[in-house]
Amino acid sequence: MKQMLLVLLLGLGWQTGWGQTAPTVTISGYVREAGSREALIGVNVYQTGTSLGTVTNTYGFYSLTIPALDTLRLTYSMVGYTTVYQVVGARTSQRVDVALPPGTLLNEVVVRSSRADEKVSDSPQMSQIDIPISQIKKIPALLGEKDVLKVLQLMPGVQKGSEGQSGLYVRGGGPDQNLIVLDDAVVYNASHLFGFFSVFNGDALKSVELTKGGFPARFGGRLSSVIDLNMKDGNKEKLHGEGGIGLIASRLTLEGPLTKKKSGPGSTSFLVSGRRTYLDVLAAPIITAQSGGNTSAGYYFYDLNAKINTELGPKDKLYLSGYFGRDKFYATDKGFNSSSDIGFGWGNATGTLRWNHLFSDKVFGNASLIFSNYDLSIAADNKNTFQNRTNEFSLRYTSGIRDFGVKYDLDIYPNPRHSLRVGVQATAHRFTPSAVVVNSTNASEGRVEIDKIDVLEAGLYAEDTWKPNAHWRLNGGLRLSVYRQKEVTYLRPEPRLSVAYMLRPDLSVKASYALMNQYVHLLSNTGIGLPTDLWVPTTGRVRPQQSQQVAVGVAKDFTGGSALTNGLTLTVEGYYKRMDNIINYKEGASFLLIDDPTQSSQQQVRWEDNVTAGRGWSYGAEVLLQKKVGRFSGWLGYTLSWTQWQFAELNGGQPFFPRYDRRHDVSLVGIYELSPRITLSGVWVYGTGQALTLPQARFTAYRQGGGSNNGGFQSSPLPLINQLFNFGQEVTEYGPKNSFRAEPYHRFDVSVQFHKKMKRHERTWEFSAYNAYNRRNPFFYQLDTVFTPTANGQNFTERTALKRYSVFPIVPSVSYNFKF
Amino acid sequence: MTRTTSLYLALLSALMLAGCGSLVQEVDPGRLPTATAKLVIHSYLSPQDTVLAVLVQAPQAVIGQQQNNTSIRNVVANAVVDLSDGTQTVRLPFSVRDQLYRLPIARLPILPGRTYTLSVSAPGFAATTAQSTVPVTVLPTGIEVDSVRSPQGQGSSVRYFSRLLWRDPVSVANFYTVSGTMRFDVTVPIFSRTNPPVVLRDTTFAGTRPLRLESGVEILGDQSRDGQAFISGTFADNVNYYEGPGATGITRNKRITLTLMTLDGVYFRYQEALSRYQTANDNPFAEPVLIPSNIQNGLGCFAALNRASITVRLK
Repeated sequence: MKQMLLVLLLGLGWQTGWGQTAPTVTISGYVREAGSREALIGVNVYQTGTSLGTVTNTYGFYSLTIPALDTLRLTYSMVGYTTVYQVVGARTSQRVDVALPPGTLLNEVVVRSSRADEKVSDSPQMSQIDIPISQIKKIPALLGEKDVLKVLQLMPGVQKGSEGQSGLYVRGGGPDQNLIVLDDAVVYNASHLFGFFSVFNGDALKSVELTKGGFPARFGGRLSSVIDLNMKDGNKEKLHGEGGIGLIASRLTLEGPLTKKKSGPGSTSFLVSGRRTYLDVLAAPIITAQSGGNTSAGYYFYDLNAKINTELGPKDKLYLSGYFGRDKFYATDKGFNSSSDIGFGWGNATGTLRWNHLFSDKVFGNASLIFSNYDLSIAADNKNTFQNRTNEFSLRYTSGIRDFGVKYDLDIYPNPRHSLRVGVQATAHRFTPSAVVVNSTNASEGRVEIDKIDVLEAGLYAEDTWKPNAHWRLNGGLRLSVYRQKEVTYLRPEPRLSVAYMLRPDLSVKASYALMNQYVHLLSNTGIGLPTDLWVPTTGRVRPQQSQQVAVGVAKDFTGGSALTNGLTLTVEGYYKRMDNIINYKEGASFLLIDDPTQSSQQQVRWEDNVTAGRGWSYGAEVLLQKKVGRFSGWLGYTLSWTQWQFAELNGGQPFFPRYDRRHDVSLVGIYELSPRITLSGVWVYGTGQALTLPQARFTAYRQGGGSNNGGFQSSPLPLINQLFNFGQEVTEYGPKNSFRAEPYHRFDVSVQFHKKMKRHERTWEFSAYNAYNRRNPFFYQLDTVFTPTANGQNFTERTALKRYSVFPIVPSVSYNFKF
Repeated sequence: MTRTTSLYLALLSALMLAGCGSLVQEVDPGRLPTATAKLVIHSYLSPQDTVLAVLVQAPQAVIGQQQNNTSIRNVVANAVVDLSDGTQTVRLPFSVRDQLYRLPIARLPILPGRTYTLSVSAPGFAATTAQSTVPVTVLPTGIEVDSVRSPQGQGSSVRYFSRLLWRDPVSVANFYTVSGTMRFDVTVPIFSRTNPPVVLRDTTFAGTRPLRLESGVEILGDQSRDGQAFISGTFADNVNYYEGPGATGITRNKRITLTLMTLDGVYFRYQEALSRYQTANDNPFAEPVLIPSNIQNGLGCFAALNRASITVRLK
């Protein structure tokens, strides 16, 4: 496969002649948002009336090399922005920086040419989703807290786990198989409040893009998806603010220039953004009053995003960005002669320093220094005094992962038919699987620490996006992933190929293949994003996970026509994904398990003893009909899929459906701009119920009894049944694993936003209802036994029922948002 | 606030009232799968036993009215139980006294290497079949006994430890479990019922007590150690024997018997799942443990094992 790919790449490269002899010029520059001068990612830049074009990179840079002309007409277009047409004399290479004015409604009346906008049919990339942040802010959300990850869950091929959870299940893969990257730094636990909210504050984000298949070679490290988030750079023109006050949290973002110079070398801008919940502040007086001042308890989380960028010179830019977020639960209790203090905290910290350098008008380079850390800490202190003796006890538990990384990427634009990317990345991970320190006045210090594990993960890649003629679009590449731990070293090639054939200018068929390796694993019992979920490395005993995915599809763009159909895109895709060496807890194991169940004596076990490896496969079809612009926008997504796992040590070695196998998944999202002052939006989702394991019967299980009169005396021997069958143990029969289907999940959310331009700012009141028709969706099931005394009061009857627990009935909310 | 927003708030309040119902609801039992029509069968064949025995029970429903007394075994007495070695089939009658289906082993000898088929059917339950092959005999090669004596009062207390040694036969997949028994004769005084009581005479009787596996693995497999020498975990007696003045009961003739049981994979998997089930039961976060069964259309375990023992007399 690798050789085939190389031959293909080289052959195609020669055919097109990268070193063209006809005189050419290179037009390059940056595309920014008018007003804020924020660099725009993914803007289409092309020679008007032709298919010669390119797309701006993550930093807003583009480069287009074309035959020299007296007059060159260029078009710059992007969803949500007014298209700009630029006429330049193109006898010599030159830099053309462009500013696109935001404006979606205006676009509706503009009659477009057939090449007037970003088109899904024109790109070899498939299985990719990007949602404008502005659209995310209009979609109704639980308690008004807009959440990027929850909006991604509304796309086909991407599913949520349980009710209200922000974890993503992409094409049959678990939440551990998603690479979530914020400004090049991996975010290891992207959820707050046990998964009900994600850590990403929409006000600080510029873009979000999810790739679920056909992965370009620049992405690697996870099996199922890459979620690439970029923070805003900070407004260069003027101080700008944005914020909101909601039922559970408030947020504020400030951005603006730091220098008088607004563009060019020396110009610097910043962005800071913060969010904090205040349930603890509201509940504190109630808790204190109820406990007579002896108890205080609370929970809160906060996020801080900050970014600063400066232009060092015409060819150099520097960006420093960081994220810091933390969840904290605390409880203190004071009694007559005792006191206790419990704290439970977890959070991520990331930092990225990036340096852009333009080597020439065709070669763009970026170097990144990356830091990421996730840790969970539990602290418990207890003090009690009895008969003038004070006993103190303290426990400290920590677990986490810390990364230091370097990355270098080069974007090369030799001619409009090719855009190449090459790069290298290396990350030093340090895993702290768990460390417990116990101090007590009654005993000496106890310390149970599993050794920290240091590993190195690296990748080297090259990819080319190639448009050989009007019909073919290709993206081919190879990634070489390297992993080194003291026990093992892996060097694995990962070939990638995506191909599109344009049947018509607005209709293409696509196919892709990607092989992915994953060297870090997440141990999770519940799948609901608990902070106790533990990241662990590949070791001598736990092998890397690997997936291979093929996808085929059709992409169609609808241009022109009525306001309802203009800008509509339709993608239909089918995929098959195979996953090897995926890991799961063994039956009966959990993160709490510190004794090995297979050992008769209490021996401490390593996490590696608790996991087992298996394989999985997933296949399905996805339909997405999407409209990103216009008064009425939104999408309809449908997924039909099957996911199965097979582990030698689970379910007796038989294949089974994992909990999140979902046959049907539908989402319907609509946003309607009723007037410039009122926005209406609604979301309806439907999903097949989860596959669960439920008790079917109870019985007493017996081991063999040795056939001896063990424990008896000759005069009074044990009954025969006790001699033959020992250790009667009450057990539950579950039937095959996950053979019960929960009830389907469906829900309707609705919101209305009232916008008003005030003297100095613009404000928005939002009223919304989550689960508007008050559906009781299952969150979990549990057996519940009720004891009722009999008529004579001497005895009781016992009745067991299966109860379905739901978490959210209809949840109305109101929030106030402003920007200036 | 505008009129629209007031209307919206009124609508929300109405919806809130509608949403005040319970978030916990009972699931219709008709929707739930049940395994109550399956027979629970336990039978362990061994060439060393004197009896063929099969325990047949009915499982209990999980949902609905529960039996208050869970100690009742729920034995099914009207089943038809047939055991066959491929050439001969015997029917095991139900013994009311033993609550088992049983026959003397002479009616169908249990031989190493031979495969046996058990068929059980009962009215109202699915008919079941299961197969098991008796493992080849593995003889222990030795026993190691150690004692720890520590001073106690005017005498000393003694605790005994023991381990078993054997060699795994080549090219046969085996699992092993070892059990231990302490046998002893104990002499105790018989007192009169007078006040103060006086010693009438001494009496001696024989007793047995199981030994506990103090360290090591309960079941050993030969997956990566085919044909190698094995050594069991350490067995210990729970009792410290006091030897010295003032001892009320005198224990003599102490003998430790360690029994090597050679098992097939079926029993190994069953026993291993039961151990895991027991540990996981206390852990609310643990994944459910599925109890495997080789009984087709039924639950439980039909396995064969082969025993060989070594006894040492303690000085």
